Amino acid sequence: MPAWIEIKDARKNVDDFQLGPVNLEIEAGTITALVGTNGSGKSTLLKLMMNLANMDGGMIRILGKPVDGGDESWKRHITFQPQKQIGWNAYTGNELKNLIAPLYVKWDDKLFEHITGLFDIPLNKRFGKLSPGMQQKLSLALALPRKTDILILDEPTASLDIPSKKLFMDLLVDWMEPEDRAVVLATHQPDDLRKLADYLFLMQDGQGIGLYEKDVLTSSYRRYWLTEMPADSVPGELSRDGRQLISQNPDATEQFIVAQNIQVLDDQALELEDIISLLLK
Amino acid sequence: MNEWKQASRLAAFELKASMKSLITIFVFYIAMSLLVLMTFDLYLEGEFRFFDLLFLVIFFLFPAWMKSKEFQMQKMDGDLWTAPSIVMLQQLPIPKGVIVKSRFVVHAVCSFPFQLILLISLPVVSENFRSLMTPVTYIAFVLIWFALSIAVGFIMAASEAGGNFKTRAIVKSFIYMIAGIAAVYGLIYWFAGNGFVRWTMTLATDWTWVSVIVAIVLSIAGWKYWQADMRKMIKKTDYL
Repeated sequence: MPAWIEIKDARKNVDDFQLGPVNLEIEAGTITALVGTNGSGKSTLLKLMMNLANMDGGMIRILGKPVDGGDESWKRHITFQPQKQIGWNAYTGNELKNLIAPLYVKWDDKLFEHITGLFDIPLNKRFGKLSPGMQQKLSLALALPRKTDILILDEPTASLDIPSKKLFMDLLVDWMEPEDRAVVLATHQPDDLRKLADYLFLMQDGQGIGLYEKDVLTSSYRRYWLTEMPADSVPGELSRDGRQLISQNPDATEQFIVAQNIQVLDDQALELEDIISLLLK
Repeated sequence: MNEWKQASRLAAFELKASMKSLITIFVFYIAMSLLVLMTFDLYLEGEFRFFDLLFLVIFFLFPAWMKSKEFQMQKMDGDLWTAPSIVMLQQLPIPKGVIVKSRFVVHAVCSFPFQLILLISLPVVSENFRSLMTPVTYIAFVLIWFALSIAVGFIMAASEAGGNFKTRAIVKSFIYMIAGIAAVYGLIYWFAGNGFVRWTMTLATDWTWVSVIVAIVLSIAGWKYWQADMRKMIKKTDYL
């Protein structure tokens, strides 16, 4: 089965910034997080997926259709929630719902009511008059009920308070369950990554560093506190600080330590944030 | 036809959302326009040449200014200039052709009723105009101005597609536009010996049927051309 989103050598120059070439494939039934420093090109890549800008090279296909082709039917299968909604300010929540809902065949009115009730969203107030957090909640309330195959979210929880973040994550997990769907989200929030993502696509300075399976990534890095630090390099060693060692190949490291008769005082899996920081160094 | 139906639906949302300000500004512009039209007799007697410029501004630019700020073309992030609705609609499953048409419906609703009131007001406020025009030539005159409204005025609708422009390029094109208008304005005075409005009255009276046919052709061509141009600009622009 071909990937639902195929990005091949996608490139875009914006003033001095150069995105790509980026290669990425998104499969059905997965949540992929785009992770990177500010200005690494995450939002630009998402906008290229939505054909909001012209690529300088490469190609992007969604459900087998090139996004920059004449056939725009792929848009019916995708929901895009940008970091900042443009053009929504003059409309109330109710007006936005009436505008958006008929465009999607699977629109779920009950889910919309459930989310607006859960977040206590005032639907008669103009979008521009809502607080950033409430705007984000309304955006989500208008995104999930579209029930499209693909959901693209750019910083979906950036303005949400802690309880709302949790509610959103539960909603997204429920949303993924009933049928094959794919989510792509750009985020800086460690909780989003820990609780939602299956895959992490790391980006730096416009380049894709790699696509990692989250669980494999978290089990591949370990920190050890040793009774003594060997003088020579340890297999899998990534960095050392005093008697503290970080390994990206725990099996090889542990074998070596045992062979050297060095005792491990303590060891710990690395936090996802620490691993990402190491990879983005 | 289905595309026009979808476009009208989208346009209705925008018009409804800006109805309050639309009506307020509409009333204000009509009041201002009628004040300007009071000088029409003076103009026809050759004593107020500035009327032409005022009339052209009122006729072509007021409809675009009538929209509330949220729906007008503006500077977005970076060097992107566009109407926010264009960005919003492109993120939804709406074909580009429908987006273009929706902008044209909005512009038509903001311009045609207003322009019709202006054109109906001319014979009402001016005795000279009434004496110069017959009912048939008046219809030709109205058609000429509606053709101009489409062929020239709808550039405002098409330009909402926006583009990636540096401030310098915008200032430059603004200067060229002013120079172009001044040149056309001067040429018409030089050739016809009268102002632009007076010249269109002459066309309607002396070449009535030719004017009607040219006006219809110009309307159709302008309507199609600006839609194609807008579609091209949307495709070309980076909405980043």
